Amino acid sequence: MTEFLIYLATTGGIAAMLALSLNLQYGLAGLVNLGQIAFFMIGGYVSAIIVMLGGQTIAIGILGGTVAAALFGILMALPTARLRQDYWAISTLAAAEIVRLFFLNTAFGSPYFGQAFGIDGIPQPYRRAFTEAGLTTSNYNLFYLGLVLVSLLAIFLILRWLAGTPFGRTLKAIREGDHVPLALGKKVSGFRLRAMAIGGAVGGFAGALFAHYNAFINPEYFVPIETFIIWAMVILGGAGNFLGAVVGTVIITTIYNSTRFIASFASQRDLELTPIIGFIFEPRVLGPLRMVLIGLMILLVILYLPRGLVPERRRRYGR
Amino acid sequence: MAAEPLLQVRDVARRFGGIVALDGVSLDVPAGIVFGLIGPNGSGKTTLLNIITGFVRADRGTVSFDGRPIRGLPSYRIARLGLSRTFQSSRCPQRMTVMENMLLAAANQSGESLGAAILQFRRVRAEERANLERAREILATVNLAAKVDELAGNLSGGQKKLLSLAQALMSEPKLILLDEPVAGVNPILVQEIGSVIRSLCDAGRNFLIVEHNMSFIRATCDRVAVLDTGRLIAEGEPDEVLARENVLRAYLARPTAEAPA
Repeated sequence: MTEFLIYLATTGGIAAMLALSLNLQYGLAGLVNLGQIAFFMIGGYVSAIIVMLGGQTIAIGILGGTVAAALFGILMALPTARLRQDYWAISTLAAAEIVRLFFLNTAFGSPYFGQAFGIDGIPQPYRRAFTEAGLTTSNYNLFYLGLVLVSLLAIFLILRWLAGTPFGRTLKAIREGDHVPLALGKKVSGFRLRAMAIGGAVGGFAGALFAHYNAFINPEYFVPIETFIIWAMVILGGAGNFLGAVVGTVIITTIYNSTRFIASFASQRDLELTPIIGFIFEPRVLGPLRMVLIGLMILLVILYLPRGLVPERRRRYGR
Repeated sequence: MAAEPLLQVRDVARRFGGIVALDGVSLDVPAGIVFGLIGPNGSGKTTLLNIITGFVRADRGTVSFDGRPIRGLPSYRIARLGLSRTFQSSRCPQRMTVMENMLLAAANQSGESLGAAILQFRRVRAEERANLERAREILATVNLAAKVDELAGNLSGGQKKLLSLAQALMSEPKLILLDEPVAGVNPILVQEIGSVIRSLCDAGRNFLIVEHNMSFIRATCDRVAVLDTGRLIAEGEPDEVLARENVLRAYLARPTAEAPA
């Protein structure tokens, strides 16, 4: 049980990085990026390839994955700079699918490296040191959780600071349309490009951390629904507030994984259940039911708390 | 030799499909005055403003500002040359506060570059402090000092117009283009906006104003030009121009046009 909670916290921490990245793009700059998962995928794949095929250290792999995803963010923003918001959103969805299909159909070196097989046996940082010191897998997982949480805190602080700079302020203006910033001399396309590059870097970094934690990645992990779960985190938490993105991640991750607890709880207690409740507790029903629950929560938030659980804060200048 | 006009428009034309929005308009806006541009709905006033500020491309003609040709430049570059504009429907970001709107409008902010924001944060902070002071002064002149932390979206229609004007002032422009600064504003605030513009002009600011409110034009503008169906039909002192027969006809011949007050 503790092992599972540590696993949950680690993957949740990684997901929170993605939510922070999306919050920078959508919450601050108003960029409806429906291809957020592409950054995550590129970060993971590029890092794994650099380390396993390029023979580089894991640190260089993670850096490479981060830079590659940032460059992909720029690549996504460049040809689409003149598109209207709705068309732009569709183009990002398409871009992410192109990335996934590229990795699904490309083998790297051997036919069992890449394609539908994914990449297996991705090395974990300092793993051998832990084994040599006689420490257990549990110890290692705890170490990795610490690594993820420290990175998450750093990303959170950096992005929140960035939002308060003149750069972040201009992003906030762009979120409500191009005309006013343009008339005030802001090169809007340049700001969008930089928001995509930073968002890409954060997403790619998270992807690399995930790949080296999970030791296995596969194109199936990066389907469009994953992007929508990140969106659910940001909308629920409160777009425009970085703390909100983290809160949303905690809630969505909990719901997403709660079915395992409920199922085991029900089976352990051997409860006398009415047919209807018993039906709900069957795993085949519980699985899809959690998506229904997330959908319902999103609806309720949009209707009754349109600014999310942790609304965007106003910076005060009055004296 | 006469001083070169601040803004010079020469033979500018623009069609939208089969509609001729502007049909060879030439206009000189000198420095030191409030220049009014009027005309019935659909006469091409906003199109002309959009062409001058780079939001719409002209089919032909030239536009120069402060002695530099600016036609074809992207709008953000034109703004950086010192030509600031407002929009008809005051689109200033609604989910930002009044002060954030003001700080946004300051020109040449080094903190907008990521490198400077990270490496030169002292300089960025000093700039912010200076901009904050200037923003407070400007907000005081347009009577918005009490609304510093209010979201722009919560302001009244007239206050939004004032915020747009204050934003335009914040960038220290050489010429301010106001698109309908008093449309939909109550009469008392109209007078107030007029007197703010007059005193800013006396303090050395230059204005080009597009407006329908004739009494506002009379009271505020030193010179006025009249557009009708994409052509300039009159130019001169407001009282004299607004009494001309062809100007009256342009306004009165259309059932929907406002009569000169």
